[in-house]
Amino acid sequence: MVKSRITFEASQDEEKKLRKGKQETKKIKKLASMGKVTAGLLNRLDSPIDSINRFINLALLTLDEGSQSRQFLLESKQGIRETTKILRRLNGYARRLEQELRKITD
Amino acid sequence: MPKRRILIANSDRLTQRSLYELLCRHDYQVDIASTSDEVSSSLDENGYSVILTDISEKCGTEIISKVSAQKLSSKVIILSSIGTAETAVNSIKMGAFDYLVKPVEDRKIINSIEKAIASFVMEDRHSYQPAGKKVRAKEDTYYGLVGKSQAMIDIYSILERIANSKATVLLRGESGTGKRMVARALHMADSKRRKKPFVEMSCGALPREIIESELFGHTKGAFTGAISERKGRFETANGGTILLDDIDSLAPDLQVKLLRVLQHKEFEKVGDNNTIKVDVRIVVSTNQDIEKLVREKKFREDLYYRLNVISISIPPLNKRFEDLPDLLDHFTGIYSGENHKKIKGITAEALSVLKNHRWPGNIRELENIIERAVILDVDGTIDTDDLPEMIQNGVNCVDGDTDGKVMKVFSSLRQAMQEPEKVHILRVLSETGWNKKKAARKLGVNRTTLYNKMRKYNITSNAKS
Repeated sequence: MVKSRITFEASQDEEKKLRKGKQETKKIKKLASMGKVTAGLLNRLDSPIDSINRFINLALLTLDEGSQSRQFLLESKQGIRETTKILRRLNGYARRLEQELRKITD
Repeated sequence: MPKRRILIANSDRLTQRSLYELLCRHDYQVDIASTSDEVSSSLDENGYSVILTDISEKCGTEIISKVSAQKLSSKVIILSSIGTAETAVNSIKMGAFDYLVKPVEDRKIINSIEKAIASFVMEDRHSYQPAGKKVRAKEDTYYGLVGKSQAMIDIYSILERIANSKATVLLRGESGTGKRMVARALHMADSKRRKKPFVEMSCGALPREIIESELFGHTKGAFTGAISERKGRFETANGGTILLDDIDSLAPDLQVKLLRVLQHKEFEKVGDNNTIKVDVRIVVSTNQDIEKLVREKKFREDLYYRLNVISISIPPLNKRFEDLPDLLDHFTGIYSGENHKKIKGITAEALSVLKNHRWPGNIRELENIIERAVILDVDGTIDTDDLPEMIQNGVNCVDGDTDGKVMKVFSSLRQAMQEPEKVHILRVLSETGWNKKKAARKLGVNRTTLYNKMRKYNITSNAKS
């Protein structure tokens, strides 16, 4: 009687471990894919933003001080700065994901 | 001169176009390579000073490996993505010159490229080994500066770093150390300014009113004698560099006006209310202890702080004797060419005599002594006999005599007056190919007088080379 009770408890522990392990794997997969998406997004976005910023700078050189077009371009540059900030924050997020992933896999 | 050819190795069309436009505006010769094959064939030409590439592109690391494997002189600048900073750091370890994280400011790209190009100059300098030849080629100098001593290499390094900045530079050094040469080298090292004027002005040489009108210009009728409008030195130097020599002797009210130019880069002509704006790199020089003058209230403290942004001290000649052979070669080359002489070199004894001299007049003194020696030389090798007696006997000039032209310690004024006369006669004789008739005409004396003088100074025709 006692023996069968011990066997039942052991099988319950194993099941718990298995469930936990499955959850961890799911989390790792999720983190890994999120990390990949973020890194890919950063790679894809920073090149066009970089080029747009440079083109705006070049256009500004040809425009007179105080012209309306110049004002519009300066506003656009502000938009680019904001986007860059978001990208940098995303980069920080991707790094944190990476660190967590390392903690789990270690 | 450094090369200015740049290769953009990037497959992204937008990046290619924007970089191309930017670099062309800064007078670089730009090529574009989109594929690995194009990059490889372009690299084989080995004509690029800088390669701009993206680390996220496969070719980024390939290029660095190829450049280091083939020992190409090109410098690779990596444009790295925000998320690939670690890869960018690794690329530096692999041998990339610099990395810039996108989105990158235009100024940073240009600065990085200029640094890469400047490093060519430095590498060229460091790899310079003196050849056996006696006459130095122009390329062996750093924009006209001669010397490989540590003190000079440090100066070249500072000049490289500040060349493309707008910082005001204060040059300190004894008279004759070459402050003007350093200012000119700084102007030439500045890629943006070298094509623009280099203007010099000695603040100690002219009266206060004339200096003001010289520096800032004047309008017609501004003062008696101002019969027409005149551009000042600052306006003439617009876009380039202005050297204000002996800044310590500038009048106090002009110090205020100069302070305004330094702060706002603007001034008014004498007698004019219109403000003129200029873009000038200001270099000032002094041979005085300027801090002492500030303490004694002879020089404005605020102006001193404005001027003392970058301070370069040029060592006196007796602190850089290791440069003496190079300087000798340099001046011998110049004066043997001017006087149509063939100077093979200098004897070890003469060199040792020169090394024992204290050189109060610094490089200017050395230059005059070499000029004299080249003119007096008869056998094509500068010997101790060709040097002034004072240097031969190890007697130094009295303090304060720094122009290096009066060399002997004479007992009488008459004797002292004779030495420059002798040197001048020899110079004119040398210029006219020892044709006494022409020389006498040039000297403004009779031929008989010239013969008498030659006899007096023991100058014989066999002195010609």
